Amino acid sequence: MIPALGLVAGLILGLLLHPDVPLWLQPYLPIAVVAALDAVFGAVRAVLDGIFNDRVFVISFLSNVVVAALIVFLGDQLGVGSQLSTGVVVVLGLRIFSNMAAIRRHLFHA
Amino acid sequence: MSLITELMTHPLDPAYEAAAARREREDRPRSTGLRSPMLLIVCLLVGVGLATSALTLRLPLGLAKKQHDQLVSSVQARQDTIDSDTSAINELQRQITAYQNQALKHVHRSDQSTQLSRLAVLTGAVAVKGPGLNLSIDDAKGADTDAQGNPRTDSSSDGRVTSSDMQIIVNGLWQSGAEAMAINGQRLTAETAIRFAGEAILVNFRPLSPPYTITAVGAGNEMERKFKAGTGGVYLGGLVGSYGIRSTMSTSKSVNVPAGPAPLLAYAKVSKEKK
Repeated sequence: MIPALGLVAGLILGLLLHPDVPLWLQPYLPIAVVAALDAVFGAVRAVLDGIFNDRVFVISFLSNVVVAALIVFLGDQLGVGSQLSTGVVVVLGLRIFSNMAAIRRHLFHA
Repeated sequence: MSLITELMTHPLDPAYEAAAARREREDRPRSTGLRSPMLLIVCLLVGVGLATSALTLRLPLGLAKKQHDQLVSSVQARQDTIDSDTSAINELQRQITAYQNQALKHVHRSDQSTQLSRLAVLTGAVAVKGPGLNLSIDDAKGADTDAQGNPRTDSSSDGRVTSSDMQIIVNGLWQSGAEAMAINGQRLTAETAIRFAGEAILVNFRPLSPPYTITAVGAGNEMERKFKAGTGGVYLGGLVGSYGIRSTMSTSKSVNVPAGPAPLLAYAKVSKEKK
């Protein structure tokens, strides 16, 4: 329950504070969000599988976000930014959906 | 597609399995549990990130429309400024001409005075009137005359009057003996360019909207006859016949052609070598 409360508190904090994101950081936001979501769904599944490990979660979250940002940066430098972003979204989206399927099996046995 | 199969069957980070196996070997529970301050901090971070991204990346509805309206009104405001400034310039120009004539009269140089007014007519510095004709040209009936003028969405641009049509017709009129000309009130001078920006025709860098009315001072009926026989008239006939562009021509005993924009000569000087 504690992580879920933390997530909600973070959402409310973000909505209330409404921090200004510098312009150079904005292209990285969408991909970073998808990467973070992937880490979160993976963690939820690990909890349900009974193999959750907080260190692994934190490291996978940070590395996901950093690698996603790196890919976008590199893609922009090479002129294939949108294509690489699409690739990242497809791969992470696939992972999110299959993790979601496992979570569903755990929760509803269906 | 082993990559996609791998992704679909083992979506979970393999590090979780590895960590669980290691902890099992060390006789500890497979899971670390959720009571970890680091986990709380990261979850807080994820929440803030989600909210911030949503707020930053979401375009508020109607913002684009508001910006568009703002731009349109600012363009119109500037246009009004240009109009008022132009009329002020014309008024001052008239005063200068009057003072010039006065000064020349004062020193009894009426020959220079007449030369000056002749040059003023030729360069378009003053408004002129005299016999002439009005030629009105409009886009074909079916042509899309929406002001957006986006060439990519506009499929029915065949019936539109283009800047090159305008150039050919104007040149035809000059050939037919026109002495001064204006399109929709924009005097054609030596510095005038008839060009296009998107779908709009620019004369003296001012956008014109159809119908385009060319006012020409010259020998009315004779000019009309010459024009119709010349290249300009034949070309216009072709436009009317093939594309349905509408045109009407009428001669008049007296037409008014306004003054053009004052030419700015900052660098050009009269050459010393005389022929």
